Amino acid sequence: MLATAVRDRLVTDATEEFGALIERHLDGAYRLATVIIGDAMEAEDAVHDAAIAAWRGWSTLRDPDRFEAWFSRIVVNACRDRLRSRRRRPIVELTPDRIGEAVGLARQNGIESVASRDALARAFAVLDPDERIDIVLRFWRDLTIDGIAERTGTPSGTVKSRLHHALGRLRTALTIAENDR
Amino acid sequence: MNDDRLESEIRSMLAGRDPGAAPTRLHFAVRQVPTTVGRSSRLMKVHRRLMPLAAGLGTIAILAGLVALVGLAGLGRAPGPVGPGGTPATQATLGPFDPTADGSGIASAPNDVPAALVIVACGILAVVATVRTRSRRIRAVASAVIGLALIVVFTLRSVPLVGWVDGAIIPGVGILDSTGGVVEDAEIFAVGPNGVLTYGFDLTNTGPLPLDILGLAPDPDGGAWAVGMGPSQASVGAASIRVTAAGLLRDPNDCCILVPENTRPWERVHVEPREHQFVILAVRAGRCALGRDNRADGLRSDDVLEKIGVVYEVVGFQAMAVVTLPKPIAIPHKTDCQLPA
Repeated sequence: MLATAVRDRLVTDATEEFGALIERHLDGAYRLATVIIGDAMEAEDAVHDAAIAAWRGWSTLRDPDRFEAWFSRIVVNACRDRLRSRRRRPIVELTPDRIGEAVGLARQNGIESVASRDALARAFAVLDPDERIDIVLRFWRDLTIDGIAERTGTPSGTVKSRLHHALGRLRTALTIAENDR
Repeated sequence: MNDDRLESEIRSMLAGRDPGAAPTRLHFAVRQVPTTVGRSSRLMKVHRRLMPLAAGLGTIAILAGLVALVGLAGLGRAPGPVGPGGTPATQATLGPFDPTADGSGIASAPNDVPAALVIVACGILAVVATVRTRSRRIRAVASAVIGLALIVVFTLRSVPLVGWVDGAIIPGVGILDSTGGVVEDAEIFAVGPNGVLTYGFDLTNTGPLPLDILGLAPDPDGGAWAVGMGPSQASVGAASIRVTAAGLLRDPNDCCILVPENTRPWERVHVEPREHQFVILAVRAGRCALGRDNRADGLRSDDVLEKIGVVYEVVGFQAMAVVTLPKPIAIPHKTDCQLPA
């Protein structure tokens, strides 16, 4: 009876601590997921999946102060899984013609800066999921290379090469869009 | 475009995707997680740690099953004796083919070791790909390699790559006639008990790969001779026909009179795809062989040999093909011969 009471107490403590921590970091996780995935509904699902995974692995987190980094990593993994499964659906390949088409459409509306951003967004949307995650962590979360490596579980050198490659593709897309004006 | 401009555009684009605070329904759903989802217990963690071990053991069990299957499915038998008493008969290398030298040209059963090694290697690769890497791409490549290797091995072991297609059919010692036998279209040989007849025909490499013919199988149906009994009357059996030796033509282009000076002892022969190789069989009759023509008899019967086993090696894997002879070999048989109990 005493053992049961102690166990129930421990479970309640864990539930409350987990609840408090995830509540504190939920907005950040949701924003990160939405920026990575680009779809608010799918980001909600990804964060919910991440919350379930975090609760299941709660006992592996030794230091609650590290919750933010730990949970971010789980969120990033959930986003990566969703992006990869999304890649199995047909993707519209980004070609100079399509970028020019988008620019022309935007120009008709008199919004050239929107056209550039649209071209950039299209290029971003067809990046490899890992490259996309690295770009978001670098330019939206302002993390260092080491910070990105920790969040994604990849070596720093891999992060650097992915960023280099991704930036090259984004630069190309933006340059084509601007030359087409 | 400079880096600052690019970075600024990227930051601006990403900021435009920021949705702000999480919706209330997500807060509510996440708050429910601890009460609706079970946590992993320590026992589950132990299970998770044991998963690689379980995967390894499972793979080993599957491999053992596959190796056993290769051995049992008739794709190959354990190496056995290759002649009377388990040793090849001696024969002068430079002399003609001696059809009475039992065991010459009779190969061991196909060696299963290379196929088993490939299966074990596939298993090790599967374990490494499953346990040691998290890359889906590497796992996919490993799966493709394993699948391909297994398909190749099982195809090479199970699809016969030699057989009769066309070419020469030459009866030799003991031939009587080609018509009038009990079995239609058989070559009729009149050999007495323990007599030897010879018969040659073209084997063709029917596959897409070059191969080496190692010899004829002791007995594709698993007869008494194969287990090492000598060519005595008892070993040949009362009513059976056995292939007891094989030889080749001295000049493959000098086809095809089966006189001794035209022949040579068996040796491993290389055959390119669609090419023929003329082989000479030496066949012994059982003790119930009649020893004379029986076509005029009122009551008659024949012993008939229709298939032989050919052992060959292709890209390092040995296999056996059961080849149907272009024309069956028939030997008149005593109608009142009593088989031993």
